[in-house]
Amino acid sequence: MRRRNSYILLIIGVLVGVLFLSVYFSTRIPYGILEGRIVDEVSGDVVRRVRLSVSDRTDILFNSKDFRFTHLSPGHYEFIAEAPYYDLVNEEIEINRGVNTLEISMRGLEIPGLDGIISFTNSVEEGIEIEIRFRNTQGRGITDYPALPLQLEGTLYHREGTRDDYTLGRVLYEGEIALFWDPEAHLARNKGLIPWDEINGELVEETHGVLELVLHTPQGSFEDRVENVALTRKEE
Amino acid sequence: MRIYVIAICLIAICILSAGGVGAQAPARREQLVYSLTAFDGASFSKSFCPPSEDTLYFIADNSSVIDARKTFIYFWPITRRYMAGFRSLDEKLPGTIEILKGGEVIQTLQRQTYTLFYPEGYWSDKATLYSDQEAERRFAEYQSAVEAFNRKLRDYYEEMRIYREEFNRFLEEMRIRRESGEEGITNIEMPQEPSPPDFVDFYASEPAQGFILNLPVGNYQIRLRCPDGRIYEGSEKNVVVFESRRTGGVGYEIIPGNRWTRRESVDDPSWIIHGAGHNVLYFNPYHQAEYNELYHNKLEDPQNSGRIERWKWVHIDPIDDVHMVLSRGEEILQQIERAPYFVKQIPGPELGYEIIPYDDELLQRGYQPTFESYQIELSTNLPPEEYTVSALQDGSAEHLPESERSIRLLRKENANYLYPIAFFPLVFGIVVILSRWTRIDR
Repeated sequence: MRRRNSYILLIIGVLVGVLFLSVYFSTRIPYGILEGRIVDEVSGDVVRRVRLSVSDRTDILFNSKDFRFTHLSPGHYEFIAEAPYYDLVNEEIEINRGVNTLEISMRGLEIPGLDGIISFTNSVEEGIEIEIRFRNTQGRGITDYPALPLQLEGTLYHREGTRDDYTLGRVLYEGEIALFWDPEAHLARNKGLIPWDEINGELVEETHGVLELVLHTPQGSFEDRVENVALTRKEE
Repeated sequence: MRIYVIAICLIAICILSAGGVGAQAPARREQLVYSLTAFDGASFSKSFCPPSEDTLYFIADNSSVIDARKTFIYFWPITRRYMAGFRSLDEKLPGTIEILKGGEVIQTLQRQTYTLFYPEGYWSDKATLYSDQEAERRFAEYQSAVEAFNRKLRDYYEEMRIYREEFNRFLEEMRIRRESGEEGITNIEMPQEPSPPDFVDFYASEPAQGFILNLPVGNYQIRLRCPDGRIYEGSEKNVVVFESRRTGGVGYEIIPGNRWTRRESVDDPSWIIHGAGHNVLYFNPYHQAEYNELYHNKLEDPQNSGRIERWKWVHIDPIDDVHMVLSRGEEILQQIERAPYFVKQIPGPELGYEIIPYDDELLQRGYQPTFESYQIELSTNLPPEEYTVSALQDGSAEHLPESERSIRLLRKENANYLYPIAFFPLVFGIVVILSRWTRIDR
């Protein structure tokens, strides 16, 4: 009985061994695969219309971060990534058999045709959200641009009077405004937030403020004023 | 016993781990796809080829259009198909398509302007592809026709306004005359209602850009070359160009009167049409060609399945210059002409419909025929025998080759007798078992 059990175990062991070996050899890749992510250095968002080249292969990513090249012979290659308004990336890479990964960050060069900003505010649960939209010399909104290191400063006043006829009241907030990147937005991907708890004094319902903004960019500083800032916390 | 449990567990682990790898659904991913406008024998099938399919199929010596574009691809487990999110992303890739045979480039294609021209209207089964200047000319012709129709429609509305005013004046005049005691026929001319203009009876799609392929039978490869000379990742595909095995004969599309949206095909002369009770069938004859099932299914959509050893008939051209004949043996029972029909929805909770002959009244009310067909009514008065339908060329007594189909009328009234017959083997078996059981010596 014991000998019979040993035979059965031996047969099962051989079967499992053959199965694993066949899986190993059938899934073993005889060439190199290069896959990875390419993102904007500042925002971590997608780099639009980035063109990637390795060896005699190319690809264009319009709205995603992940790339993949297959059937590359093992060896040394030049990896090129170029996108409008971004610094060119040119890296020497080594491709081995199997999957090779590569993470790339691209540095934005400029916001094309930037001539000014248009700001809007929105009262949200966390505070006053500020949308920064870029406009060009024709006054049109700029939609495709890289994320650049920006700095936003602002002063929020209580508005005494109506939107058309007012004087600046007491200062409710003054100083730097934290910026964040909204990848879902079309025009205003740069947004700022003044938290409610950083606003000085008690706020009266249904009152409005005036926000004076200065945005510092590598292409210069731009000013804007929002004259109808709702000072009412929006409950969600 | 323990050894068997261990063995079963080991095998189960191996099978489950292997199965888990295969069942992983890929996430939404930006990928290169080929959009296809492929000639299918009569018209053009629109689909796309996801990265999971490595072969494209086309009919030989006919133009089809492909284009390479980037979109989001995701797997839809319900239909077990890859779907394309063209609304989220639809970007054409610049470059040229290279066609290779035996590893050598035999053709390089540039993007061309093309239009699909439907000479019998958008809903017809026939379309032709035109390219470059001819495409522009055909579309301009269609646009001019639509503009002319719109002008005629505006004129018609104005004529209708004048007609209503004149008709009201006519009625008022009649009322005055009747009230003044005038009787009998009056000499006032009754205004004639104007007829609406006929809509443009052809259609041309808006010119688009694509790579036009027209190849002889064979196996090829294609790839998209970027203007800088590099090849786009994922653009290499195999191409199978095939032709029909045979053509000729007549295939029928049948619209059953009791479920007109569920059309059926009777393409082979050996297929028999079975009818029970009262049936109204609408026949549409077609010239047809026979294609490999796998190739043609994949041509219609590369994600379709099919079997390479099977063949299918494809309707390629409607036949409308014939009349049909319903006969029993040598006796001709009915000659049927092609006629337009209108599907009239029945208002109310019944949610049904009625198929009625299209007439002048419907035309005056601005309705278009729903379909044109040959109506064959199989009434309950017909003896339950075998009948034949066939197509005869107008002005000829000869049947179109392979156009005959048999119709068998089934009797429903005695169908209940079939049920006991189905149970006969069971009853017989029980009787045998019982008889043997009683013979066992206990």
